[in-house]
Amino acid sequence: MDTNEENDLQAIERRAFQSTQDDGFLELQFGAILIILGITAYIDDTGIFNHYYGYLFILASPLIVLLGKRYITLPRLGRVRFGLDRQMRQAKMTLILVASVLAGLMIFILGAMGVIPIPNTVRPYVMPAIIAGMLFLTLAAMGYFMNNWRFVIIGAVFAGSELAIPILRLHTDLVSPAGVALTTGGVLITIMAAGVLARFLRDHPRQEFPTEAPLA
Amino acid sequence: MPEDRPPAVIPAIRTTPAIDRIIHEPARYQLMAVLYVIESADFLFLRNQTGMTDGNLSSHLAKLEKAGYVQVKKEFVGKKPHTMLELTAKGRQAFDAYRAAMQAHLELGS
Repeated sequence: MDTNEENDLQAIERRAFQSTQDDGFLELQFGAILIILGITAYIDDTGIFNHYYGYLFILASPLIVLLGKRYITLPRLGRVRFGLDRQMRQAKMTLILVASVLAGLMIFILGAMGVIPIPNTVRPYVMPAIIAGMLFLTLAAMGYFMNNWRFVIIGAVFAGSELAIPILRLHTDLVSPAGVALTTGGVLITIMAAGVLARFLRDHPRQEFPTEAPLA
Repeated sequence: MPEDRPPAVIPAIRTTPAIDRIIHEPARYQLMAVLYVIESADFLFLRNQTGMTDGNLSSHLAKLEKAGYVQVKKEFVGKKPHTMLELTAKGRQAFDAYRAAMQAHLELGS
């Protein structure tokens, strides 16, 4: 099989996989994560109550995808199992995500401990910039492996929200700059995800009768 | 008699592999292509990918199954039975052979 034929089949496989991502649930999950982080930051800044409970909601966020896929996507799109190539691609994406989270945690801890020498004049901006860069690269890489360009936008919003925090803190009188920045970013992503989901529901109406037509 | 047959305009066409008529039908080619790039899928997914009607898809799948290119697997998802369709090894070989034959025929004309 020559290169052109291989590319045609790759395009078919890519389209098939992209169709399983066009429900917007993964984007909704990331929007929810950012909103939860924003609300948690607001609670922390205002001292309403212990903000650590908020992070539990982040652990529950995958339920958005699990329940959405099960009750909305699968009855409309059908079931598919992809081949080994796609499974390997998904595995690579998971490794990148895990490595990125670990690297981010390490940088955060080293920065907080003062191990990484950062001049005081730029300190308020350096850590957010590093975190923003890592967030964007990680989410963009996810988008690449999942053939989902919307994750580049999500990465940009995550990075932008992170960069907005020190700017808002230094130049505004907001009670919770992090709360405002992160929640705004989360709302933007959620609006995009809702649009994707609405389009999916329009293009894939729920079947009135089962479509497992017996073979003739 | 073979000797009475007029010479082929392109003699090489006699040695070019024959086109598999089962796969050659555009809708069935599309079905085979989708099944080739995935492991398995159910009827609804194939219908969404190909845009065919239920009856049309069912008819083409039946022809492919009769030819031994597609097999039906019954599974259980929870307590509900579910039918998944996948290419057989024969189907994958036939698809590869079809694409090679088409490529050979196209190269004849170039």
